[in-house]
Amino acid sequence: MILSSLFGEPLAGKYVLWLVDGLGMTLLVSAIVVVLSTLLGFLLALGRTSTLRPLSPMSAAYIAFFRNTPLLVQLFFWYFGLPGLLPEAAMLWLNSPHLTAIGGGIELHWPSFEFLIATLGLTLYSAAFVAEEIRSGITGVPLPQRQAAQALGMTHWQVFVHVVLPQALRLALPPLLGQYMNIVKNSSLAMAIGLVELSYASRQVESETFKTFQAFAIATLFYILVIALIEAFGQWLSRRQRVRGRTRPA
Amino acid sequence: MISIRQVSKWYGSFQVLGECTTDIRKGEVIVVCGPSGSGKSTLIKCVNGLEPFQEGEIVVDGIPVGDPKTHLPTLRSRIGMVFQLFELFPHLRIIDNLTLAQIKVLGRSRDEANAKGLQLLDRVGLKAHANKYPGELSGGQQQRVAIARALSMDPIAMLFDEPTSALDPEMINEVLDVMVELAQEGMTMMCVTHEMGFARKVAHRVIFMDQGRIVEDAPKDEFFGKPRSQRAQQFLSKILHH
Repeated sequence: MILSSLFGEPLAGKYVLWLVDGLGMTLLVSAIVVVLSTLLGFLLALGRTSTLRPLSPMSAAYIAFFRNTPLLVQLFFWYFGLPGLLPEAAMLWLNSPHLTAIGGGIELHWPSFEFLIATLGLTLYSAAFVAEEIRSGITGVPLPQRQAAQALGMTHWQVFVHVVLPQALRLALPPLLGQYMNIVKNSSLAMAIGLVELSYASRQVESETFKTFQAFAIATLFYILVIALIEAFGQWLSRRQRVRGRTRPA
Repeated sequence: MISIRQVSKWYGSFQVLGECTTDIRKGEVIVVCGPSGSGKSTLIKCVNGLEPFQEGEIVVDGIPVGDPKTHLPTLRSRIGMVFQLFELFPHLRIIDNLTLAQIKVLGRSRDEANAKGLQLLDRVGLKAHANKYPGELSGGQQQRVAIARALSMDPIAMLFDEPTSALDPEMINEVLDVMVELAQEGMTMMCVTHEMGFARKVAHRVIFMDQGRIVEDAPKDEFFGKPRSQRAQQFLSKILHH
């Protein structure tokens, strides 16, 4: 009762459910973006560290472009700009609901245009940051480690796969987890293009109930919870890998 | 077995190696010494093509190292190399450090590679540590593992790049003991080291380098008895009398 006098009446169950649904959407978009941006970021990092002439400057240009412009502007660009570039029939198809049968009588909804654009925009943006973390992991593996692998007769590719990459990913993991946290938080900007994720839902609840504090407090709590989980995962991983640290004397 | 002819190398306009020439016969143990920055490590890394050179020729077991047509990985797989800072792969267990290249480069089966790896670990007295990670071993132990790793490829020659200079004094001997044993078994060895005790004991010849050039290349007794060049005399008196 002290709580309710401090924070006002609790939200009705229906509105809490809205928020939980929003959290679900936030988690879904974030998870997809984490996977896709890691794949794309990995390719960009490979390009960035490659000695092949056009690859490195091209990757560098991509990274500079997507890192140095605001995410909100990028989302608006894709949401409002992309339809102009696509043929009208394609847009019509994207904007109308579709079902795809995946067998066994189960049908999947084709995701909404907002969902597709949010995923696309967040992925292209986040990949630039992920690429830089992976690249600094790769360059963080000392040159003599490569030489030792080469001296054993490994080819360029074998050196990369068996010696450089495992160490690079270990070096890159803590900053990568930081980027994954950013992805979760950045997904809130997708509300601006109408994706009903956690932030959008909290706005909705607030305008229906006028319980401003409760609506945003619960949303904030959800975000903190997700970030804390990622952090705990990172700590668990680093504890597991403690013994496999550096071996070279400093 | 290793023939180095008139090898010169530049970093930009700075010459790091100048017309280095020497030969290493099968079963010979050569110690390369000289002040820091004299090009010793660079020369030894030219032998297995880790460092490119611009002029001259190095031929290992009939294969020209500097020839762009030479498949360097194949050549390197036949020459063992031991580094100053050990360079074990920190993410792999000791035994996997020894089997990785055997499996990936030589195409040996896992069982065969494991057996070979354990046998070599036993030889350097570290069989009990096979399942540990490099970070759990002392520097001297890591360097012995590194030697075992190089030997696991059945090399025709071994290159040592200052193998004891990063070690605490009490660990130097455990590594030198392994090297002495190797030398006495007839392994062809080229060792960059300042361990003159080791040189006296097993080296056939000593090469002294200064400013990228081979200043002195003499049989061990001659070198320690009376070096011809003044520079080598100075160097010797510095590292032997204190």
